[in-house]
Amino acid sequence: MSIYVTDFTSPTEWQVSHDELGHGGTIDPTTVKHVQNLDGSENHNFLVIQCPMCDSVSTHPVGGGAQPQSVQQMFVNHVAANGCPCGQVAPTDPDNLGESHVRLQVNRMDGPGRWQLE
Amino acid sequence: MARTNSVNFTGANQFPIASAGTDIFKKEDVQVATKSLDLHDHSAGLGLPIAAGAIAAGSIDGSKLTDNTVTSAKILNGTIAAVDIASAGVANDNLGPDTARANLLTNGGFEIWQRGNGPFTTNASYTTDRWSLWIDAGDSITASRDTTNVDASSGFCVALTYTKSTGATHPHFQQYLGAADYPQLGGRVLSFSMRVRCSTPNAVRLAMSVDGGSTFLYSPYHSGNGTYQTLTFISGIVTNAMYMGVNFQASCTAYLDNAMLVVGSQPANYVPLHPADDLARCLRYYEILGVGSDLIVSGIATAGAQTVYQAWPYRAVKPVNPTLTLGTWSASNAGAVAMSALSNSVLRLSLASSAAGAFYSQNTQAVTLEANP
Repeated sequence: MSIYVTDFTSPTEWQVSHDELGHGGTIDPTTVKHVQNLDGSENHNFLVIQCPMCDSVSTHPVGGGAQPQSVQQMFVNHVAANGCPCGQVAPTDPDNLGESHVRLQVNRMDGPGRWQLE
Repeated sequence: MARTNSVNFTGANQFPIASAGTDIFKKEDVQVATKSLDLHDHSAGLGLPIAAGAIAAGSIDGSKLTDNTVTSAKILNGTIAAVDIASAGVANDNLGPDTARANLLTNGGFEIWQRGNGPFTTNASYTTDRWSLWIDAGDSITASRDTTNVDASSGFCVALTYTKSTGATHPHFQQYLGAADYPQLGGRVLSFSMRVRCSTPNAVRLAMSVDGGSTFLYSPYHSGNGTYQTLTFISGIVTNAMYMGVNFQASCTAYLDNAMLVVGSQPANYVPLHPADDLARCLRYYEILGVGSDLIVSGIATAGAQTVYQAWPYRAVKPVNPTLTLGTWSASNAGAVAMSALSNSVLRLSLASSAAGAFYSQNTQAVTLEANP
């Protein structure tokens, strides 16, 4: 029952699919948020995406989880737009810096070979 | 009375035989006869061939046989005992396809449908466990569980309806076997087989890649006779991630059942796993933790904004960190339940109280974990 982005249409609009339930729709990318740690800080290893059609939410790991290509792209787009809460990447940094940072996260979480955006 | 000539000694070795008392005796008669007798070896023109009955039982040993000349037609069926076969002498390519072997695929029989029965129509979505769709622009594919068109001795099959537009040559319905998930398959040869039924000729075939998708190899097409046929294909050496599936080249409806992937150059017939083993393989990649109203996070707070945590180990360790999907949860004196931590083997949820007193949140829909390497 994964909810994932099927089309990164524009900086203000993404198309998502809720796999098994067979529905989907459009979301505002700013609604995709990081999970919060116990101390209230944001965890840069997870992003939460809500289904626009029902109450379900999917928490995706940076490695990709159910849909590695889509999820990794979502992290790259998110860090390009917002920077990373760990402070390593600012929103004003070049996009390829954010992508390198996400790739490093992917390698740390699921190991080399998991990266699928090339 | 004329003389007659020998019949079994011919040519230069043929000798005359006096047949009447009035025949003149010639010394040459004896000369030729004795010369022929000296040459007698039962070959053509030198006497009668040896009758099988004239050979003593058990008198011909193996050294008298020419190498590589005894064919199976000369051996009585059912007479070769196991001791006659050299130890470790039966190679993989000498095995019959009905020799049971371990299936490397997950859910090769298409019996496990944890995500539901479909129809599934979205590109990259998973259908029956571990089998996903790869749909090109303009094409459409519908995948559903089917119980009426199954192969013999099968519970479920996959019904695929394909409408062609682009018609690319990669698998449209496939199982992906990541190189990191199957490190021991590198350098090996694999044989892939599947039972396929289709009424459109030259529309569906097996497609596989063993080099990470750089090149695809194909079985012959299904003939389109409307019956189940076993399509098979033998790979080259595995060098990277593997894709095993079917490719469509014409619009059609096809039924797929009983897929097998084995090491070696001899395809194998499908052999079902024990249902527990079949499900256990699937749980490695997709797991339903709670189906509804069976999970609860609860506590007693002395004030609002106090948090409790609940951890659930998975039934199967995942190959990578999974995606967690939470459906609707009911709440009493609490906020929304949230993921607090997640690894490839355990999940931790958190819940904060709204005010002092007992508080809880309970799932009303399934909680799923999905890890696709």
